Amino acid sequence: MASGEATTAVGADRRILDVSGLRAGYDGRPVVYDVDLAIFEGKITCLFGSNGAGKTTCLKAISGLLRPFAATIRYDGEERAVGHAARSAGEGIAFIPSERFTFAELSVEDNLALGAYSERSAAARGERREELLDMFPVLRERLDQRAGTMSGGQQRMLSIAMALMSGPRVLLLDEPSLGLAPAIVEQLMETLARLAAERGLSVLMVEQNVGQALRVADQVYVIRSGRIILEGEATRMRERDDWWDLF
Amino acid sequence: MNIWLGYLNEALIIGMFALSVNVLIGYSGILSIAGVATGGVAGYLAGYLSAMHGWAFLPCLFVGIGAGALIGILLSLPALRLSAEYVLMLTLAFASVIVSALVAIPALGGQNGLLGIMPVHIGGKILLRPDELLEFIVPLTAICFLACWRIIYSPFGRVLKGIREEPDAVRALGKNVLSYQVIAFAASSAVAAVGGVALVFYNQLASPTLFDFNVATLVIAIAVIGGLGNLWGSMVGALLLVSLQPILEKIVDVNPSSAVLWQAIVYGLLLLVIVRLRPEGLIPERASWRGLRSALARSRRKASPAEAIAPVAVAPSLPSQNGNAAAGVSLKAHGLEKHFGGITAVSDLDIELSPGMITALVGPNGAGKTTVFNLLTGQIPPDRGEVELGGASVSGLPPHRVVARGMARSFQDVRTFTRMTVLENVMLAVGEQTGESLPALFLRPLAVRRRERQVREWALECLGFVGLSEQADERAGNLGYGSQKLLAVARLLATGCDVLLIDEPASGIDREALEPVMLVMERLRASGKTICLVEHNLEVVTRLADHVLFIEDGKVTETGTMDDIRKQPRLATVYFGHHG
Amino acid sequence: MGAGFGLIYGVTGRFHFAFASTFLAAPLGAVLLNEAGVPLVPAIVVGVAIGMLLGVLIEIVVYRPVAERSRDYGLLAIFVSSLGVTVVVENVVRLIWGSNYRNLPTGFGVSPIKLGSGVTASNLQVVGVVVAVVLVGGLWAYLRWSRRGVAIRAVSSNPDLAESVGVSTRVMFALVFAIGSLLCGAGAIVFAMEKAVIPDMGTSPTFFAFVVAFVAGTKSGPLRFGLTGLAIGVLQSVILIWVSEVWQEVVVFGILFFFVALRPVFEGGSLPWLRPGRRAPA
Repeated sequence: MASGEATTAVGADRRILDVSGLRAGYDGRPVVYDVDLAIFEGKITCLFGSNGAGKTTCLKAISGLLRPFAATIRYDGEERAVGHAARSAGEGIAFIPSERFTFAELSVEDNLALGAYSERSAAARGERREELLDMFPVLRERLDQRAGTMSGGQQRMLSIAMALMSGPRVLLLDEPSLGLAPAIVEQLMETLARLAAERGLSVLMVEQNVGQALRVADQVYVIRSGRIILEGEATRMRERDDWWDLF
Repeated sequence: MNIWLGYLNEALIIGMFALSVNVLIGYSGILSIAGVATGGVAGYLAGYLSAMHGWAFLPCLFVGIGAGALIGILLSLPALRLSAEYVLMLTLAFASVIVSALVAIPALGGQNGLLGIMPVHIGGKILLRPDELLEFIVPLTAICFLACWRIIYSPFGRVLKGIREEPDAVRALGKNVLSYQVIAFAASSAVAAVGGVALVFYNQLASPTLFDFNVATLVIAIAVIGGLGNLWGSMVGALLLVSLQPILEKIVDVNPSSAVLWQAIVYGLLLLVIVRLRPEGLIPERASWRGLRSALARSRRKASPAEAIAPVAVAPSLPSQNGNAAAGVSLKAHGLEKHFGGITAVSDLDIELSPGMITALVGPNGAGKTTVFNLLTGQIPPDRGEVELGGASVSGLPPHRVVARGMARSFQDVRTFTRMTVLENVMLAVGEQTGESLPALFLRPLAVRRRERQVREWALECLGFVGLSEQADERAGNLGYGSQKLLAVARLLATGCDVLLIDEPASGIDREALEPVMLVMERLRASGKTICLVEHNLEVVTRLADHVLFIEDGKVTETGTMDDIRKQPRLATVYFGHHG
Repeated sequence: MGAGFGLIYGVTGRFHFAFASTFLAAPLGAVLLNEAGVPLVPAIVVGVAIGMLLGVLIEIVVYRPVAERSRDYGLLAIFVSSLGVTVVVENVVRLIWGSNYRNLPTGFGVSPIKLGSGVTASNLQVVGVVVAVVLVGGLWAYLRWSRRGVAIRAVSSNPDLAESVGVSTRVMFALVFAIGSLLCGAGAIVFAMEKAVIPDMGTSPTFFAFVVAFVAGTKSGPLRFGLTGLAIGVLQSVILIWVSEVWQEVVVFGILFFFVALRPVFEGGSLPWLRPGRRAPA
């Protein structure tokens, strides 16, 4: 559990995703021990930590790609079964991995269509497609291009568009800034902040790049060696300068 | 009675093929089905020499073996560069080419094959009846069996087992993986060749159907059902399956043509059942009388804890192989550069590592830290730059030579050989083992045994240094992750190298498991080893590192102690990203 | 057939040797039904359906449990299982229905057609070509434009990401097996009409399917498979004419051998055995 700073809930906001007692790992060995996370509706929550601390494991366990050894996950108040990734998209939880986040051999158009795979209504799919192409005009220009031939930043944009195609309420992002130039990362963060504010999208973002993420974060957790060592409001975190101690 | 002996003969011959398959697939982990076809070539060659030129049996046999081994070596060259499924395809293609060629080449008699092969004679007596034929088949089979046995249960076999699981780790411990695999291929093919020649002379006929796909399938089925990795299993499996048909015919009294079909159906079903329920086969790999006894003994003793909480009775000073104190070796690298396609991973990088010190490489993700390790150890050749170890250049040497010179690295994801015991893991890492060369195995058994004893003692000392002595006979895969990290360090120690590059010792384990690892690091430093770490956990770096190199975008931009680094706001920005 | 096998292997990574069983099952089913009095066209349709069912069944009952259980032995276990299935099916068939060959009637008269410049073909062979073109083309279109088809390509490209967007890998694998078996069955029917139905008819064509699939490159699209198949078929015929029948197989498999052996050269560059050691990621 958290040590040091006291927890402050962000006002009386609703918890859309409530994870408690998460214990997960690979090949029978836990990498993450007893982690509790709360994601609030319409807010951006960040999970910071160095490599090997367990950040990606947490995300994968929440999204269902990895079956946790133990966890209680409440989604929108109701308990949710763990370990079924394919269902997550249909239920409104979208996950974007840190690497290989597009279908590189397929066209941008196909990628977008796949993002909406879990959406049954063709009308809704069409609508969202238009919306997202407006939001990311660079994609509209490249609909027939193979995703793998685009630049890193463009592929990131595509991956976010794909995730949004499923009309999610929660977005799980794994190191979105990895491999991107600072200017693009800034853009990315701003887009996320806008989405959270305008549509009530809840974001759980795992990051190593503390600086950029902090600018848009509302709530912060720090994980080290598989345990949460710090949690609190972002405003307080922004004043810290002892990040070296936490990683 | 003679009929049964006839079947026994057949079973033994097929058993030889199964042994050959076992060595390659079961033990070396190479998915090749070329064995039977190789035997076919050898058999045809031997048969040809006998039928057309009247050679006696033994010379034909030797020619056949030579041909088999040669084919094995030639096949291994492309095969070892390919991933598993392509090896399968390659050997499948090979087998198909051979079988269809055997039919196509007119000199070989087409579908009907070569007739008129001279029967075998020993000491003037011509062997024709099944019980007489036994006289040459049993010795042949026994020799093959013993040869395979010797190869597998030996230091050489140990390395093969390691390669089966983690070839990169084996390479990083100083073994020339490629040569082991080529030799395994050659040995397996030689055994198959013996089988092929025996089959041809037994039947006094060399025909394509003796070596076609149905036979190859049967052989693989036998090897799998009997147990991959267990030689007895192959023989037992062969006996079982070959005798199915006569048993069905004679005892159960099924009509002969159906009996053949039932035999096939049974072995097909057995195959499915075994793969599904008991992948190790009827007789698992570790089964042996000795193994059984030690397993019983172990279960009677109190179970030792899986995690090493605190090292027990650790040697205060570093054990050394030769008895001399470590002189202290330094590593210097200058101007290292590496490009991958259009990306510059490392450019103009200088490193100096001194004995008795822990140097740490830190930097943001993707800055090139692991690439540096790869460049230093020769896993990737640098585009430019020099690496000097203890004053001598090691630039451009392949990894196993670098280890021989005194520098070894560990892997971020540990890569222990989970199917071997802890002790075997460490024993594998020791260099200069007489038992790892095939000629020595067969020609100098006493020397091999002596060296093996030495290796064992040394390995136990290394285990003692990291505190894993209690777990020496445990299966490495059963250990907790923290203990596996310690095992990886013990392996490094066993190589005898003075320069140790350790990749992320702290990743993936929690605080409790971290403590013993850090203690071991400190003890290594105290013994004068030259250590370099890549690490993301800055608490660990602060505690352990005497000297820190900050790497960003493939260059070293700052050096100093961790405190020095922390005082620089620019580095904080680089590492953590721009602050708002 | 190459397209069918290639699809299965490219998407699921399962080395489905029991493809041969499907090859047998479809025409056998059709023949048995036909002999029992069912008219030809429905018999064929049901036969193909039986083949598809068998394929899916094999995936669900045999491959899936094995794959999920033995991660270590993965490829070997699947390959060996498929060998087991092939052996069992072939011999069960022999046991129950005997080893003799049966004929599948064509429903139309088989007659030669002159194609010009001394090349003749029977109209049955033309039908076969047409069927192949239609099926391969159809598969290509399906993969390109239908929702499920795109999902299949997604699983082939990035299985984890596919799961994340809601594509169930398990369902897609089964679907792929069904489609692959469909192609196999159709090919088998034509083959059976031209030659006959015998219990071990499946092995040889399956081998050729391997050749096509691997020479074309296992993750290629159907068109590439189709063209490769065509090329190899033409090559076979050429050899038949110029050399002799028995050398056909040698050459075809020889091609496969060299293709696979030299693959690292195509991919990496330098001659494989001169440089041991592999590249590690940055």
